[in-house]
Amino acid sequence: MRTAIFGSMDVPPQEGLEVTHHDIHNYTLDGQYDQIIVGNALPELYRSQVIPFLDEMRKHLAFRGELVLYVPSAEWAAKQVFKNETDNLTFYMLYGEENKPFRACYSMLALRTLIERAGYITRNASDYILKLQSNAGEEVFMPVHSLTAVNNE
Amino acid sequence: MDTESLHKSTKPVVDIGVACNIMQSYNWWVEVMQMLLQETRLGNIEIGTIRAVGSALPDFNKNNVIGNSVKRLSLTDYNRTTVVKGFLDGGADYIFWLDDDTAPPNNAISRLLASGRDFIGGVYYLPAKPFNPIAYKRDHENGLYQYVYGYPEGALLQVDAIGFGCTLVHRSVYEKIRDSHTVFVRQNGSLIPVHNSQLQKPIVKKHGKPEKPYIRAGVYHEQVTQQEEGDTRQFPFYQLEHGRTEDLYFCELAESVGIKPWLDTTVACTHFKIRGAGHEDYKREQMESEGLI
Repeated sequence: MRTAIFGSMDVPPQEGLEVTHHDIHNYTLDGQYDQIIVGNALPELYRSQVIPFLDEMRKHLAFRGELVLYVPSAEWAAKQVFKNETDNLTFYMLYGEENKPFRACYSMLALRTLIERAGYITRNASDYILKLQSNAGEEVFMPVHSLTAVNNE
Repeated sequence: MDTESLHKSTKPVVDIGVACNIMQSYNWWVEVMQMLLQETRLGNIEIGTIRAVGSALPDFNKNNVIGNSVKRLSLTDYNRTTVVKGFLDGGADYIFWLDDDTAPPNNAISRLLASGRDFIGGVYYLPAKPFNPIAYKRDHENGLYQYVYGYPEGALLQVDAIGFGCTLVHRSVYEKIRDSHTVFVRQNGSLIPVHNSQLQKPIVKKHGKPEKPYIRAGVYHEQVTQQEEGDTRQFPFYQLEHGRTEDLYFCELAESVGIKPWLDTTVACTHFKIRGAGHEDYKREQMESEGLI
């Protein structure tokens, strides 16, 4: 089983699992993958780059291979702004970091629409809490949208 | 559980099952007819048989099953089970359940089918405050169901139970349930399917000395006998009992064979009662509860 990961995520090691890590701005994928995980990296792309990126991933997914996306929940962040309850996490979710700025944020519906426009079939689209570690070593729990889509061609 | 027919080049055949009341809103007819026309013209399915059973409510013995040519005093559970018999005896791959007060959007069936899930529903809402979706997660502390609320728009979630007002079920779900259970007759004559893994021998056809049900050490005991071959009642896929609706019963049977329902919130129906209620009502209620409006 081959897994490609974009973003600073990892998966537990297991026998027969080959994992490679990639930078969403500069990557080379080699052949077909059973799973491609994009963890918090999609917002780093300009909107015009998103569909070409999703098309490219589809070319590298094996038949019935899975694309797994995690993006910060735009709805959650927007509610924090609306209620004047912003904090560092809210600003990170909307704008990213200095060295990895976000160029877009996604509601679940927007993400799902993009995925289906790019020809994938959504298998699961739900909310999830992602555990992150801040630069100061503090644990942060971020509401994200988690979407699993398959390549059925 | 995945559907192999997702990969077939031919269109899957979908029967339509409707549990009817006596009267429907004219708005419902218009929207449902439009949806079926749209699916016929542009959808990725072939519509098989329309299996409509009425009435879903006690109506003084005027119930009439259309398509299966049976008349009988019936409630929703019996009507649904009758529809399933016709479906399983036929050749369709899926059954799409509609209620006669829920109007799905135009591409509902094709969209649910595209998910590749074998048991999946669109979302419809209680037609009165708090307009909650008719979809539930189980509270593991008390076993009761809590409605799903506050999901992100566009979500496709696995849940513990859904209503059958806009629900697509592959025939394999029914077959797996039927093949994994043995049906017994309770003392009151009603049927109860028991998962084969829960059977302990001996299985009896008749009790020598009838005993009333009793509770010992917190466990309910009741004499039951295996359903006899001459008993022509259908496998009880749906049962209204314990003050609960028949859809919860089916969801629990499906869960016992490892299949839980999915909810696609992009397939949003209107639920007609005195007036139509829908996604806008749900959204307004949710935003009010969060202090956003």
